[in-house]
Amino acid sequence: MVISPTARQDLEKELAQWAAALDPQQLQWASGYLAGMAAARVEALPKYAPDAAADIAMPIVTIWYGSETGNGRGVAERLAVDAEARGFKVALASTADIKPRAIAKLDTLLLVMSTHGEGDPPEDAEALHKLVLSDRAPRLEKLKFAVFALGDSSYPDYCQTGQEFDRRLEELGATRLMDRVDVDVDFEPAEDAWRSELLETLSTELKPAGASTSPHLQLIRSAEAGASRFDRRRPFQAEVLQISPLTVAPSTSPVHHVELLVEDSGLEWLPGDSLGLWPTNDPRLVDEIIEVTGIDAGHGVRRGEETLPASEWLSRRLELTQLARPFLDAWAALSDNAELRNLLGDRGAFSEWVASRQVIDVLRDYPAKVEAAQLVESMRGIAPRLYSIASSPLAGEDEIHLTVKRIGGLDHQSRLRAGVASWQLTESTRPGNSVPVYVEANPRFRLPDDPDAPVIMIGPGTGVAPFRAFVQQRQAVGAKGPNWLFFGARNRRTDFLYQLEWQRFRREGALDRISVAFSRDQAEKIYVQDRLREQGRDVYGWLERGAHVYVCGDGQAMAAGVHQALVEVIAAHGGKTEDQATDYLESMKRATRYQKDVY
Amino acid sequence: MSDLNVEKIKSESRALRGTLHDSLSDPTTSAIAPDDTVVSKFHGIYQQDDRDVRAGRREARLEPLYQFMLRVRIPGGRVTRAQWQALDRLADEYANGTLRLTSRQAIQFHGISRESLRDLVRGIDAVGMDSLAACGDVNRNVMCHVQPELGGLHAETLNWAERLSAHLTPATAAWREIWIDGEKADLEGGDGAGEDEPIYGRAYLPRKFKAGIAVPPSNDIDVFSQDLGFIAIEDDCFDNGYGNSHDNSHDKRHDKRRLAGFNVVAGGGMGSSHGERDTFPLLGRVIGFIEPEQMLELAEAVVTTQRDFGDRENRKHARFKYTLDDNSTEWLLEQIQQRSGIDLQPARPFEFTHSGDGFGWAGRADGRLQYTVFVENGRIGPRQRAGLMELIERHVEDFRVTPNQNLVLTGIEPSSREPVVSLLAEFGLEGGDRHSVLRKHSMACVALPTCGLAMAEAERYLPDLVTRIEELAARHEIGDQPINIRMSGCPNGCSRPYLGEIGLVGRAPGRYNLYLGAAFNGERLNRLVMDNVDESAILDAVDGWFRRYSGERAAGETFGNFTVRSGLVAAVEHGSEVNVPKSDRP
Repeated sequence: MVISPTARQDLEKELAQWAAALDPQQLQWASGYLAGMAAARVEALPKYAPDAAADIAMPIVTIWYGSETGNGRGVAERLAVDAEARGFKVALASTADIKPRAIAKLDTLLLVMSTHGEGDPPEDAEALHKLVLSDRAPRLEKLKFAVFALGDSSYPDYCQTGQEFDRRLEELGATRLMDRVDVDVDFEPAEDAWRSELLETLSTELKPAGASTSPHLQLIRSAEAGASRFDRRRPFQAEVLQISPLTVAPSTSPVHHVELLVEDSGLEWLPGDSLGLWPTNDPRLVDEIIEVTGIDAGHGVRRGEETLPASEWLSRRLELTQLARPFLDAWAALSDNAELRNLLGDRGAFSEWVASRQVIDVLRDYPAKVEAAQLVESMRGIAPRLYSIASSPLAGEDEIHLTVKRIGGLDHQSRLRAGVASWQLTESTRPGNSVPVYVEANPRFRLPDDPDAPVIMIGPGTGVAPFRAFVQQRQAVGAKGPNWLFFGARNRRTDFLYQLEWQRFRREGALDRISVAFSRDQAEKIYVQDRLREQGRDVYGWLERGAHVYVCGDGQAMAAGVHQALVEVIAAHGGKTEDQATDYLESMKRATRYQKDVY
Repeated sequence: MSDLNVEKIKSESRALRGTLHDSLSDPTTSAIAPDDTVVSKFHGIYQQDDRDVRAGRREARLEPLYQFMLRVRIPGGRVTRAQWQALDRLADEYANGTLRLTSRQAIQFHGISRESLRDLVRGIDAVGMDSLAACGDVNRNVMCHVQPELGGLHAETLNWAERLSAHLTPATAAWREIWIDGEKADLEGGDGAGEDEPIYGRAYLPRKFKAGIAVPPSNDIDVFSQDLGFIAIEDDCFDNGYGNSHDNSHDKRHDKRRLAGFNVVAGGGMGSSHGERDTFPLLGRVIGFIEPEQMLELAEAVVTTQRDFGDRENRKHARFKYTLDDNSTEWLLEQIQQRSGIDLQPARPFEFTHSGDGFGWAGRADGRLQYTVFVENGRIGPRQRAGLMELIERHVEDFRVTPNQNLVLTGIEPSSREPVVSLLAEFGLEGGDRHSVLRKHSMACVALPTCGLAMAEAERYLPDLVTRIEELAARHEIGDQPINIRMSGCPNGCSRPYLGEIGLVGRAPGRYNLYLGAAFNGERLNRLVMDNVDESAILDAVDGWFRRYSGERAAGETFGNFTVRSGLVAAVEHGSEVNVPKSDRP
């Protein structure tokens, strides 16, 4: 039985607090006492420990997930809960917490696998991916499996990692329980269908032991989903309290601070978690699409189980700002446009082409005569946007703060070409409006349990958001460990996000050091990784004293640059080779002392 | 900043070092440490912020838009060609593209980032200029009348101004160490005291100190507003041949004028605080006459008297004017005698006729020409800068900043007159007819958006107000009468508003205290007539005064004198009356 990492962390924290009061002899005695209690508990609660024969006969359903944003974890958890409710014995784990070779011992593996960026496995699944796809992969004749592949169809190779696992497991001799399902960011309808079909299949293949509720899944639910009745499917309508700029003219990259009221929602979060937000498309963009396509906006259109007016589909339910392959394929067929077909065939140019356009641009440039139903059918469902929460619940549990960078804006013809959520939050929402939100836990990005451990936070741009929550949290709990923030932006005068707050934290002793890199304040560009190198001796000193290092921000290039700088710092000041320095970081990662949240 | 704090910061500053060196490299702010803002003033550097954007930045959780003003110390306002070329270039490279002439003949750069300060200071140092003691509780920029046309007498007084400035300059090496060398000095001896300051001592003066030299009949430096003023007295018989209009008729007599000595004026000063009756402007008093060679010792005696007796508890009562007002002339003469051995002689007669500048062309004793350019509120923008660069590189020997924030172009060959005229026209530089005499006699301080003390607009607003006052003057047919109009954004009085025939002192955005009745030649302060009024009330009042003046003035009677004679306002006998409204009418 696997306890989820977060649940384990929580449990450890409670035990550590309790144990802190004991002297070594008492502790010795307590360990024996607990062991005895554990044995008694198993006997007293037979439903968790079916008789030995049944236990052996009953194969364990293993559910592994490799998740980047938390979507995959959500899918896996819902599957685990339903499977247990149907009486299966379930072992749920993140691919970050398993030993890859353990796959050889499994009977049944339900793999929920995301694809990251340009067809790469999520970092958590890298080790498993490497083993399974390698020549050294074990044979898996006794394994039954099913793969649920998540991806984002605005990338050309979306769901590729799931596809690779699906193909490779079969090659290694495993038996497919059910055909793989590939889903896009609007995965809910497909997920539900897949889960119920899969559970039916499992019930036929395996014989469940009868309904039960396993304790570790309860833990998962209380720790990860919170006590709230609100989640991705049933978001909470949070009132917008305040939207204020964090940058001033002539900044080239406007960022806003957004405060949401979550009073009485029961939403719970920890520093590091994200807030999911279901955005609404701007009416200007909806009108432009209606005008360009000439559809009847009021016409009722059925999609899935629902019938709504076309304008409502466009406003709240469909993805209008990001282009994705399925839509383009559908539109190429509808418009019968050779140029568009050719573009779709050109893999090299595709990514860049897609990144610089929105749905409306395709509708304009490759016109087609369509009915409202055809248009709605062709488009991708809208997906929630995730923002790192910038406030600690201990600084105010009724409010959630976000740090929102506006993407795009009005083009030179005053047409709206912006990121849907960032535009909504920074330009069209007013205090008093409500937005549907939910908490997306991020257990891979957590402050150290030890309040005395030093913390190094590297967060250029809006990557600084979770660190505001971190510092608030450490201040609120009176953590003794020192905190060091690395922040970067273009110009100190216009883009120093939360400058007054960092100055205040520093005065109050909640922030011990702050190193800033403003790339455009001098002739040569300076980034956070340059500051890491400059301060290398001290950075290494902090690492040696057990510092936890956190990296958050926009872009793989930044994360890679920071990683390389850390390798160099460890090598230079620890007297190590580059390989040894890399190993040093790897072991930090395994000890959850090196965590990243990169988007 | 409490009074005691400033005294503590000064005395613990290790001869003006403070923690400036570290302050300049704190990456989390564009400011310097609060205590260092006191120290930096002594280096001629004020931390300011753009107050126009303060509220917006606070909302954005950004600190104020900190920027710095650097004041270049220029005794007597003389700027050489090479110096001007450097100032011009530096304004673009490190400041906001403008140069601001000040009412003390200095030149200010505005909008400098902290990172640019060292480069800027090095730039002025390279041409033999500095900013040390341009601000702070020390002797400030020494003023000197600007009448190069007076030839030898002018040269002699300017020379004395420069010597006085050098004599009273702080001895500390901190300025060079921090800004030029950029190295943190390891002070010898280890007591952290810094160098010996023979005149100032460890805590410097209780408050700023101002000195200057006037040459009658021009009181352009407002000699009665100085803590320590010198009125140049000529050797031969008093020459009253000076007229308001500069022309080529000055004869060689000027070259023979010789300096006999100076009448000494002590205890003037402008600043006051709203609503605080114990604070007021005062005119200096003439305490006697000295030989030229006695000037430096006398000045040192007066400065050390102020150092020892000035109020170090209450900064609002710390200027030398209060020290003297609380004691007596006899007491001061005694102090001077004890400290320098100088016994002052009885004051010599003198007569001032005006305090404003003459504009346009004037001849010089050596046959060359000069031209005084009107610079509205002293602000020289990029276009005017371009013109001045052309002029100084091709036709002009050097520039003089006047005490009224204007600029004199000197040493022009008569043959260059025509090209100079066309360059002036091309770049909108004007000393002649384009501006009314009213505008040419108006002066405002910097105020918003950069000055931290400002309560209301001054430099950005006075031009508009003058336009409306010009309309009133035209309506009442007094448009050719020069009237000194002085506006300050706060009661500290950088534009010497209490010497304006019409004075305006900021109270709140759009609201001013209105003063009336100063003498055109700077020998009488004005008096508060309306408290906290807006533009329409100001214009209504001015309209009424101009109507009376137009109909009732005597021949040659200045506006300020008329307002007193007619009873519109009662003459001020002592500065403490300035903020007490009183007219002679029932």
